[in-house]
Amino acid sequence: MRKVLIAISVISIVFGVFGWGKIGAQQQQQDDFRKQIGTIIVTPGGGPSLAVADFQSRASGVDAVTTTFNEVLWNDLKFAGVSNLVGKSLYPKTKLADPASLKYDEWVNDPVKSDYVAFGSLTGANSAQGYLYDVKTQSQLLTASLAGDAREMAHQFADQIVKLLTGQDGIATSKIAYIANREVFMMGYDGFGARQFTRDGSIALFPSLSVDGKRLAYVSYRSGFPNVVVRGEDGLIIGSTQFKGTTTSPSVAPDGRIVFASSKDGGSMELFVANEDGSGARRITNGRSVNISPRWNPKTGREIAFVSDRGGSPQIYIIGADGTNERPLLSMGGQMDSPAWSPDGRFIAFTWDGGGGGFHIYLADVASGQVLRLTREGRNENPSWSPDSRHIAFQSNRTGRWEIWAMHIDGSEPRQLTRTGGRSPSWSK
Amino acid sequence: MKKSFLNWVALWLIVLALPMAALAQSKEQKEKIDRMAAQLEELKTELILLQRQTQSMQDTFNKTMGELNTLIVQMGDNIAAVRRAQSAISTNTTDTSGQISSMGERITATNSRMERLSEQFASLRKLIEDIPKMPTFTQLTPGNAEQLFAAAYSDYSRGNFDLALSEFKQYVETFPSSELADNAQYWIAEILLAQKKTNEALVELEKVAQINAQGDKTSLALFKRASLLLELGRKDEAVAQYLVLVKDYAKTNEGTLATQQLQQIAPEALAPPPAPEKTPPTRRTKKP
Repeated sequence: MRKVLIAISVISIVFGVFGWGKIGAQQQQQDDFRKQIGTIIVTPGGGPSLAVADFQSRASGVDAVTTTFNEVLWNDLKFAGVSNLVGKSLYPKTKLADPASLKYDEWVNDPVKSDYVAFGSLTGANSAQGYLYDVKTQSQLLTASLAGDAREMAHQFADQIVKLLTGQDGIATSKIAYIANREVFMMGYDGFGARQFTRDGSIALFPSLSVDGKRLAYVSYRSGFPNVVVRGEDGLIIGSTQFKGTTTSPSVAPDGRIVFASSKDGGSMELFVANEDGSGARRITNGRSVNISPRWNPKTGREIAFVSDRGGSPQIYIIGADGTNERPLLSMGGQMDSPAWSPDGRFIAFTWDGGGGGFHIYLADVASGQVLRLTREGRNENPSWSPDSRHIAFQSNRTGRWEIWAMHIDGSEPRQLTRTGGRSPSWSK
Repeated sequence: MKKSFLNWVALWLIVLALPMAALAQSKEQKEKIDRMAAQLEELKTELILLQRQTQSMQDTFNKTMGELNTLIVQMGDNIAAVRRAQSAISTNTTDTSGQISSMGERITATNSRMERLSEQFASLRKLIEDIPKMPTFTQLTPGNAEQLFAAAYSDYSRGNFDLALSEFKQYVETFPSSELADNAQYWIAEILLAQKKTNEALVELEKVAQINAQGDKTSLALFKRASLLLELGRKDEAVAQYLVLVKDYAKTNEGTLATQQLQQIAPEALAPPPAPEKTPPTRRTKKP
C-alpha cells in the first residue's frame, strides 16, 4: 500500500513538473503570440493619438455631403488601426476649418491630449482641402487637395494620413471581389459601391484578385465545364483554361501566373500552375490524394500553401512553385481549409473546424507555426487579407445568411460589409 | 643511499609534473578557444541583430522620407506660386505694387517652409542616430537554434532575402550538426536561386548532401541541382545527378521525378547495362 502511494506521488510530481510545465509553456507561447499580433493594431492608449476634427462646409448646399465625408473619414481611420483616435466629445468647441484657426494648446493639453490633428473643409460637393498637423511640434505634415464624391475624398485623405503615419499604403481605397447571385461583384473595402463585375449567366465561383488588383481569376461554368477565367480590370477576358474535369480555387501570383486545383480530365484533384492567360498548365502535385485550395505567397511568388488529405484529414501543406519541396505547415487534426497567405508573407489565415468544434478563422505564423483563433460567432470561412496585411475579410453566417465581414488581424472590430448575401471575398488594391 | 633515493624521487616528480603542466596548459588553451568561440557566436548574433535594426531603421527612414517628401512638395508649390506671381508682375504692370507685395508674402512663406524643412532634417538626423537604441527583436536569443531558424525562414517568407541568407548561414556555421543544418543549407541555395545567382546556388546545393547525406532535404537539393544543370545546358552532369537520385534515393519523391526526367531527356541512361559478351576463356600467362 505504501509503495502504491509512493508511486502515485512520484507520478503526480513528474506530471506536475513536466505535464503542467508543458501546458504552461504552451499557454505562455499562445499569450506571447497574441501579444505580438496585438501590437500590429493600435489599441486605445497604445499608440500616437489622432484627433479628427469635423470638416466644415465652405459652400452652400454641401451640408449632407460634409456629414457623409466626416462619417466616412472617421470610420476609415478607426478601422485602419494605426493611431488612437481621440473621441470627438473632448474636442474644443471652436470650429477648425483652416490652419489659421488652429490653436495648438487646445489640442495638445487636457482633455484632448493629441499628437496629431486632421481637419479641413469642403469647398464644394466634389472638392475639399484637408490638413494634418503635428500639434506637439507645431508643424504641418500634410495638405491635401481632394476631388471626387464625399466617400472618395474621405478615403483618399484617410489613406494619405495612414501613409504619413506608417509609411505604408492605406486600405481605404482598396476593393473586394466576392460572389453573389452566381456572379462576381466588386465593392469598396467598407462594403459600399457594390457593382456586378461578371455577367456570364452561368455559375461563377472562387474569385481571386491579383496583388495589384488589375486582374481577376475565377471559376466559371460558361464553357459548360468549370474552368478558370482571367479578366482584366476593364472586365475583358484575358484567357481561360480548357479542362473537362472539376476545376476550383485559382490564385494569381505576383508575376501573373495562376495556380489552381483541377481533376483535369477526370483524374484526382491536383494542383496546376499556368501562364497568366491560363495556357501552358503544368501539374505540380503528384499524389493520389485530394489537393485543393492553393494560394501563392504574394510576397515572394515562390511558394504555395494548399490543402491536402494525404495524411488522412485535410491539412495545410506548402509546396514550391516548381512542384518540389512539399511539406506540411500545420497538422492539427480535424479539417482545415482555404489557407490565405498574407501579402507581407508572414502569416497564413485559414479555416479550421477545431477538431469538430465548428468552422472558424485562425491565424498561423508561417515560420514558428504558432496559431491564434480569430472568430467565435457562427460559422466562418474563406479568409482573404487586406493589402496592408493588417485586416482579414471572410464570409460568416452569424446573421443567419452568408455575408462578407472584415476584422482586424487580431480578430477585433468585426464589421459586416454586405447586407444582401455574399461569399468568397478576395481583397486587393 | 638516502641521497640517491631522494634524487630518484625528485627525478620522478619532475617527469610526472611535466605532462601535467603540459595538460594544464592545453586545458587553458582549450578554455581560451572555447571563450573565443563563444565570443564569436555572440558577435555573430549581434551582427544579426544589427541587420534587423538596419531593416527597422530602413522602415522608419521610409516613413520619415514620406513626411519629408510632403514638405518638399509643399515647398515646390510655394516656389511655383512665387514664379506665377513673378510672371504676373511682368505681364501686368498696372498692378505691380500689389504683385510685389504678394510675392513678398510668398517669399516669406517659402522662407518659413525652408526653416521648417531644415528642422525636419535635424529631427530626421536625430531619429537615425537614435535608432540603434530602439527596442529590437528581443525574442532572438543567442544560442537558440530553433529561434534562429524560425527567424531566418520568416525573413525568407517575407522576401527579406539578404537578411534570411545571413541568418541561415549563421545557423549552418553555429549549429553544423543540428537536425536542421541541412535544411538551413538548402534554404541558402533557395535564396540564391530567388536572387538569380544560379552558379552560387549550384555550389550551395552540393553542400546539403555533405552536411547530411540522409537528411530530408538532400534528395530535393540533388534534384534541384540536376534541374539547374539541365537549364544551364550541362546535360551530361544533369544526367549523372539524376542517376544518383534514381540509384540512391529511389524511394523519395525526387527519385521518382528523376526517373521521369531521365525517361524524357536520356532514356538510354535508364536502360539496364548490356550483358557482357560471352568470350572463350583465355589462359592468362604469368608475368615474369
